[in-house]
Amino acid sequence: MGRRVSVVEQKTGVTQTPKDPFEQPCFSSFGGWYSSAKGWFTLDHNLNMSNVMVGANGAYNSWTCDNNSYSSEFSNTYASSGWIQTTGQPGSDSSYASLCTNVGYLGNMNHQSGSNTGGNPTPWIVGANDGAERRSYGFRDVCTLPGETHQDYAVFMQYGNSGHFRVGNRSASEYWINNQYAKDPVFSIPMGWDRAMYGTCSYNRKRNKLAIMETDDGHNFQPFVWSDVPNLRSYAHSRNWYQGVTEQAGALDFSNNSPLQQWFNNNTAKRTPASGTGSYGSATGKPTNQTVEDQRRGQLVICDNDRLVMFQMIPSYGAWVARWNSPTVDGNGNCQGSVQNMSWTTSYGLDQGNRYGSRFVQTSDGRYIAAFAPSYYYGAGLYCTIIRVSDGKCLHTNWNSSGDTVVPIPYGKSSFLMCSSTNCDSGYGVQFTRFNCDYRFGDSSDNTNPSMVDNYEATRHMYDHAYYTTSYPAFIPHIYDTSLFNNQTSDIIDGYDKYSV
Amino acid sequence: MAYLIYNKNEKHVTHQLDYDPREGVEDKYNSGELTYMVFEGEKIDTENDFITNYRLNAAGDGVENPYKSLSKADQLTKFQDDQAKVYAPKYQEHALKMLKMEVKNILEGEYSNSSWRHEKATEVDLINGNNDAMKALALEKQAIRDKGNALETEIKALDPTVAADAKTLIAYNVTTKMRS
Repeated sequence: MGRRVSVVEQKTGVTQTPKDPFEQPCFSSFGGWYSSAKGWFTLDHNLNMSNVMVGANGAYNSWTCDNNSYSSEFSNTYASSGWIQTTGQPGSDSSYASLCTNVGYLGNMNHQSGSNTGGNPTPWIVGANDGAERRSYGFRDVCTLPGETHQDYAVFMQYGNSGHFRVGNRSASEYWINNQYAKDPVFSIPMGWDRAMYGTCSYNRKRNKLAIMETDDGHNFQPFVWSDVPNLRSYAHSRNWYQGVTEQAGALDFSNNSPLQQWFNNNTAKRTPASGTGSYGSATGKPTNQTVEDQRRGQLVICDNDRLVMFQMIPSYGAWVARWNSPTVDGNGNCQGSVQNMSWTTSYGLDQGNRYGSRFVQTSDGRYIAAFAPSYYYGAGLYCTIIRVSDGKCLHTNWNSSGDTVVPIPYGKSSFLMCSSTNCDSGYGVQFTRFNCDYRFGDSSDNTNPSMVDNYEATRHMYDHAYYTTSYPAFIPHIYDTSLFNNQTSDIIDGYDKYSV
Repeated sequence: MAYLIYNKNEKHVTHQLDYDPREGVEDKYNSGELTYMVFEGEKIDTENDFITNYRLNAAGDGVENPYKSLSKADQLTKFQDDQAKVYAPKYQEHALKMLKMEVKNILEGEYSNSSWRHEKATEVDLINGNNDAMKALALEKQAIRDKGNALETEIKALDPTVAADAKTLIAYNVTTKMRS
């Protein structure tokens, strides 16, 4: 068994020394085959080993991954399922663990995330098929949180006439419970035009703004931005939907008494108008219309300067990126049109199931958001756009692989690791490279490709893998305390020293 | 002018850049460890041309698309056929390795000397005063070995340089075959 190396040191009284943010778990690589070894290697934000858990068949180890009577329930029941196999490339099957669409802000839909501060940081498989399907609803509906330094909650939007909006934990499992079993209320947000889209919403807590992309369901899009929005993180933590309301014996009608619902009902004046001063224009420049994925989904980011960026996968075409001017900074909210088209060949999205389509992750400081989608079939290749939240500057990459994929994983304060599903065999191990957003956004022009995926071979022979032969690893981004990267790093505590003396 | 990035694993161009991604990479790794090669050339019109059909030419000093005159739909078919041939040798090697492991796992697990099958057969023979149960067990084990040998022959008979066989190899599930 591995061990946790991140510790919270107890000092006198109740004061604790915060954890070193870099010693928190960053991601786990997963590999295996049920009748042989299977397991996870977990790295921290120094790229040091945080934990290892590897099992084998025949009860030789601390746990077994075979479908025998010594194994866990899921290993026994789902052992031969493709969802937990890494013996084939993501391009060759719709279910393999390494599909890039398994990864997003909520972690990996095939794995329960490990705990950051208690217990074991190593993830664990979910019951394949049904388990992944259930968790995929959250991956479909989760929305971006640009600029968020405390990424310990999530907001969700479903497609529909009145904006089926939810606020909750950063958990795909919890979202399934809330979504399917009505264990938390759904908020109806009055639409400015027509209807909301799956996950195409963006909450900027620093600016107290909520951007919602609306559609007429005809591949036309019109954004609206709400101002002075209540603190959604606060609601996500308290889950007291009657916050501030006098408690009473009788039942309170939710829609007329919940402060958050009431706020949306009573503040349509705080929503940008459909036209005229302060409004945003309709989307322009979409290269082609294909399926439900590019009809009812997208990844939206509201930037600090009120510019909007929408990344959309267009199945069997590629992806496009639309950007809007800022009514306040640019003087109008016109759509700039498509600032990037990426195209190659056959690919699949939401039409094939909730487990497919575009996803996003964001850096620990929330200053950069990476939206991405597969460029080949269900989860191989990569279209990726990274958006700078401060001003809406975009960098893109278009990697055409029919076999493997590369997934962005938040790393350190404002970087991504670009993790490759390339075969770990031949003693290569797990391969990835690094993308330093501040560096690359500094030395690259807007709407260019600064080589996000090249040189993933940099880590060859350094990071072992749980399976000993052909294996295409899956990646599980960890859910850690992002706030530590925003209040415990030297640039924050000691101040940024522009000149070394 | 563009830099065409040829992936040595995939054996085709994966993307094109307006700069050389080798910039800043230590020279000693340039020839050996890099997963890609870089060719300077005309920018590929991806709207009308299939970028991943660009593969190394015979001399190995450039990339070319032999299917450029075909429609994009036909180019996709050609690409998938050719790519299956690229991936298939690894899948064939893996299937053979998996097969041996699968047979070994069954014999050493379900039929080992400490397995319940073995224990039961031993005791049944003890009770009956013969070796019929152990003989039946041995025959079961032999059938497993025979099945493994038959599948090995089947896998080796698939030619990874033929598109149809290559696709069969990529989809070949040793466990399902052994357990069926």
